[in-house]
Amino acid sequence: MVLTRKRRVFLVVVSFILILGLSLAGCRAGREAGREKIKKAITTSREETTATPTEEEAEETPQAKVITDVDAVDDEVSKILSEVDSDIKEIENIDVDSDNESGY
Amino acid sequence: MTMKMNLKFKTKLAGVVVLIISLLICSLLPTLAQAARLRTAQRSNDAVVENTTNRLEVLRKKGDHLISVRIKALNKGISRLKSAVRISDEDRDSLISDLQTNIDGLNDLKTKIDAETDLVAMKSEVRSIFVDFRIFMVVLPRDKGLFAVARLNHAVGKLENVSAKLETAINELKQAGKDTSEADGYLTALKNDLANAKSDINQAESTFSSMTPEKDDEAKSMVKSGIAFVRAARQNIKDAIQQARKISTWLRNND
Repeated sequence: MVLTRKRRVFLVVVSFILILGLSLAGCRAGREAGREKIKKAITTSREETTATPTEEEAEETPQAKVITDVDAVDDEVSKILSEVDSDIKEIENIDVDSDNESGY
Repeated sequence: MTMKMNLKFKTKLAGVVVLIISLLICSLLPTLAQAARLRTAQRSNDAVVENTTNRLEVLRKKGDHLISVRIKALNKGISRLKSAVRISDEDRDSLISDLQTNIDGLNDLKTKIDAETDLVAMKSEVRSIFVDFRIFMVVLPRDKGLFAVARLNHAVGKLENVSAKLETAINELKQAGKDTSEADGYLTALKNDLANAKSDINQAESTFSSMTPEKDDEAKSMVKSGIAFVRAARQNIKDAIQQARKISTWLRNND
């Protein structure tokens, strides 16, 4: 079958458009895949970044926590000592002589 | 002559009449005296009955008032114990139970006093408010003292807990190669203060617990002694918390 010149030109143009289209589609797919990969990498990186100080904190916990505990106990014990002061005053203020039967 | 005779007769008659009247009066005198005596005795008896009734009422009112004042003070103690947060449930329940027992006893005594009709028994029952209960002399000082002891025990428990944690933290730094001699010194002082506080608390508890209405003559001195132990324990706890703070500062600087 002998192709006319017109048909040959037509086939070349169509082939070129097809190749160009497929190439563009390939590029686009590649770009999307790349973006996903980058996003994933960033997320992983962020998780790792946030995870690292927590581990460090976990190592610091015994000392840091005991300091917090001392502050809490200091606060509570101070309140208790103040209450004990009030108890002592109350005991001292009881009129024990009102229980003396000789006066009735 | 006749007139003379008549006069003589009249005089004799009058003498006889006077004599009869005198005899009658003399015979009635013991009866009258007896009646008068009976009237006086009756009046006296009425007065005694009235006086006894009045005295019973006075004592009943007095007894009811004395009981009411004591129950009010005991209820105030229960209310304070119920709202206290820094003592153990066991200590709270034990103290509330003791105060409630006294309230129940006083209510029973009030029922007796309200129904009493015998003056001697009434006197004895009113006296019992003082002698058998001694609410102000023994019960309230004792239970308030034990309340303070319960609070101190709670504080010591907290400090012992934090002391163990401080020791662990120091040991970890020691194992990491830090020089912990300064912190060790504070920790030893903290432990000593806590041991002394516990000893004082035990003595205060023992002193207050041994107070009873029967030992009323010792009550004042026992309260004084119990308070002295509470004060000593309080000071030792204060010293202990200062040592804990020193260790805390040391940890902050050496972590």
